[in-house]
Amino acid sequence: MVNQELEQLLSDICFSGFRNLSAAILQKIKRLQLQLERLGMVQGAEQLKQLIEQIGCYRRTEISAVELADCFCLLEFYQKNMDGFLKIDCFTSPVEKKFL
Amino acid sequence: MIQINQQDSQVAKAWVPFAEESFLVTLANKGLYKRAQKDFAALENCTIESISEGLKVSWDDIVVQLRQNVAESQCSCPSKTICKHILMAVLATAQAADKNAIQEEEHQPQPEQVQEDYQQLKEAQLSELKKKAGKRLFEDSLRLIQQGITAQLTEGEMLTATIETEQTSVCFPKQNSIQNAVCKCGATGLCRHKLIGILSYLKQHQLLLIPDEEQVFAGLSESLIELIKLADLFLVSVMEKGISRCGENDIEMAIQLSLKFEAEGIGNLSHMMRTFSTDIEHLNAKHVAFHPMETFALISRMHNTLSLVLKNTHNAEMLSMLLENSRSDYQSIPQVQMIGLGAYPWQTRSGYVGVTAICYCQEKEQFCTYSMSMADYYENTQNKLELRQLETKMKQPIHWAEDISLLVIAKNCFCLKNGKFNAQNRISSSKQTSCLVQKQTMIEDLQQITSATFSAQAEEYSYFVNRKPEEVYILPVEQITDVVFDNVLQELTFEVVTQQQERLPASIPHQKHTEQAIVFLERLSKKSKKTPFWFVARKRNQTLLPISLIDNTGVVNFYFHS
Repeated sequence: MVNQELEQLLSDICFSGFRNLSAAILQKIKRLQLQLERLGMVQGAEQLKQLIEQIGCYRRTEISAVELADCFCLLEFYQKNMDGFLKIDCFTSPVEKKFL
Repeated sequence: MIQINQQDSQVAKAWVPFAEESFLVTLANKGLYKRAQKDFAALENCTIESISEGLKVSWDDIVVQLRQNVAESQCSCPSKTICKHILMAVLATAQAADKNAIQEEEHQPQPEQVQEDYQQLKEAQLSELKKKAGKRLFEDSLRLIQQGITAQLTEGEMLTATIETEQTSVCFPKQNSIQNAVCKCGATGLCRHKLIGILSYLKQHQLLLIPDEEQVFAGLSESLIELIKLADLFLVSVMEKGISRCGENDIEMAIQLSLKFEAEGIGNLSHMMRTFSTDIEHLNAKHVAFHPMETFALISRMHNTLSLVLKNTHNAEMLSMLLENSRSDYQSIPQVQMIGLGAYPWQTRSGYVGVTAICYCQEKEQFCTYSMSMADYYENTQNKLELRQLETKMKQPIHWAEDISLLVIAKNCFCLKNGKFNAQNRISSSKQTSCLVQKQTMIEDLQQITSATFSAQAEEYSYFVNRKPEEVYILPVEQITDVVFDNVLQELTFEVVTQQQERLPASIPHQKHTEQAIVFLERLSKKSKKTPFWFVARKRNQTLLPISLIDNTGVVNFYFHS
């Protein structure tokens, strides 16, 4: 359920674009971050917290779109591998281990 | 009567193993061997003397110079190839050596063998073989071995390697096995057949140590790095403005990048860019095929791949895991037996439609595919997805040298000569390939097929996954039950009850080209009379996706009307 919510949220962000993020989407990110914290999904919560910070920095033109895209896409990678993410050794390929 | 002195008879012993029928038949042919035997039996006098290169055997006006490598022996007769006189000389030498050996045994013990049997074969170095045979010939032969096409080895007085696919054989003597090997093709040096024989021997004795393959993406050129940076910036700009604001310019840019990646040989990135361009087209056309989540996942995966590549431009190992070739090379196999198992239509998000026939290769013991495809993004090809059009295309006799149709390939057993296969077991449409149709595929032919056991368990997920050949399953079916069309998911779900009473989940998604298949399966489930049949199927989302059905009438391609 949380996985699907996260996927939907990230898809919405990508669809509307970094420049056009509404307050509603930012609130959803915050709410999901708190939900992941309550569930003990520390890594996911931390990544969402970082995304919120990066969006703020991007809006203040402190960072470029490339850096925000890196953070955003890392979250997508996390979402796709959510089950295995908690036990990092579950990843089969060295590419994935190195990516984290 | 054979005249030979004691000293020369010691030298003659080296030719004793070559007097075997199998070796002499390989060296020449059966008819010549029989003739030589007959003439040898009638031979009255014969003299054998040792010379610098080997032995000189003479009778009447014939002089034969026998060499250690028998194929290089020479005769005074006008024949330019191995003649009956050479065979007679071998037989005479062996007989003379045998007679003296019997006499010697009584007086002194046998000397110890200099070398272990087939020592040269056991100690064969792949690098040396590659040097002698040439890189291309060596790699072609090694690929055949890796694909499971090996020689049949029979050990007697000599080691005979029979290569069924080439209908030839090679004889390796026990001593100086490689140097003195004789091939039926008549080649004196290290020919392809000898190489296959040697590699088969090494493989059988688990001595085949294959060197690491040269990494395809050893490092990236400056132009490719610039292209990757450009592609990454493009993706970031899309994420910045949002997929909803992508237009014609973005479609054009994605297509250009796809073509540039294709030109650089990066197949997976080219494919992904093309898919992205089609997704934006669907979005702009408000086509139901557009899925924002799929497009987002595609963009994100591309960005992750590109950024990892940019961080590892000189790490060949990482690059080979992240990047894929456009297509792997096709390798020719002289002759294979194939069993046609049906055909199915398909459409990709990247803008292609086509039909694929599934065949089973008996020599490789693997499933292979043969496809015909066309782009559906051109104006004059947009109606190609119509099933009738695909059926017409399937019946066109345009494939291989004999101009046969894909329908014939899908429904029959055939022999393929000079077939070209790539690493994904795809068969090339080369006109140099010859196909001889033998008979219709029937249920009995399925007994010789070994397929994997279907498991509904999800496969281990890998984010940066490279394309692998699909698993194909052959299942004996008793009936299909619980046929339900899910209007929400828009797919037909049912259960396949096998003859072992196993109940396996199956499904077919509803698309334009699967309507006929859905109707067929619904009718099949309602039939009261149940005749035995087999399903040929692939795996889709932990369920079976049927491709075709084989019953007592042969292959039924239920995706098509005929």
